[in-house]
Amino acid sequence: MKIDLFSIMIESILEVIETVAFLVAIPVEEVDDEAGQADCISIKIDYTGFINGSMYIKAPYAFTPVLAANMLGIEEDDPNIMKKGEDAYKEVLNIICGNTLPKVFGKEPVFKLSMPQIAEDILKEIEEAGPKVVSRINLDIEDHIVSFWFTTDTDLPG
Amino acid sequence: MAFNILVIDDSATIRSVIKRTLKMAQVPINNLFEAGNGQEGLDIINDNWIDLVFTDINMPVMDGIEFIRILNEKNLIKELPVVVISTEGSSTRIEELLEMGIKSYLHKPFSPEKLKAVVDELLGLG
Repeated sequence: MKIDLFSIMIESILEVIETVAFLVAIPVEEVDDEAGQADCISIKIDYTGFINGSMYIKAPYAFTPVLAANMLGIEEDDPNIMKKGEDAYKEVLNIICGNTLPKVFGKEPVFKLSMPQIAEDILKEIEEAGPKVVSRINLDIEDHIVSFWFTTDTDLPG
Repeated sequence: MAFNILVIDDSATIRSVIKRTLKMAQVPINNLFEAGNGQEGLDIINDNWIDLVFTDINMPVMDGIEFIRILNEKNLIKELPVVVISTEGSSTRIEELLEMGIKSYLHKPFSPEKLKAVVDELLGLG
């Protein structure tokens, strides 16, 4: 059976955003990658196992206080909200990646996840890595466009 | 009756999320202790009465597997309920942890309702 990576990503991401951050996300089709590039934070996590790859999240800095406040139950004017928000993005990506892998590859394989870290330019990084599979999801969360990428270094099984 | 709960995770963010979720689930808490790794968790257990432990697996200094192994060595795992909360999705790893004596496993993300159900069962509430 062919793996529907796009649907799996949508399911995993929406579940995590809703359960961990108590936010509703709506998929959107087209986004302008050039617009507001400098005003976004990008985070990356790598997974290694019988297949290797990465997951990425890119979100506007303006969304950071919203995510942190909802995840941690703090006020958006908390003095450390941006740092706490960066950590929140990292944890969200970690959970999404951990949630997506067994849905794509089954529950038997063990994968090792790297520590999430800041990425400079996701599109350039993906182009240079040259993965076999790239799937992208764009979401509207509280009027902010947040994008996710999932890549693998080999073709998906099935 | 309120309980002493220990949350072990190297991420302050996740510890905050678990604290918030316990609060939303209206779990009666006397003291909520936090540790950044298994060793810090063992130190807290040595000095305090703990009713329930939530622990992550992947942590620096001492990971969750080593922490559970030491609780086993000290014969504490039968009396002290340990719940692993992790992104680990491998059924092989979860079976290993259950064989080591953990009482339950929660896969992130988890809802307040799911957390409450596990706490109620292990602490005899509800």
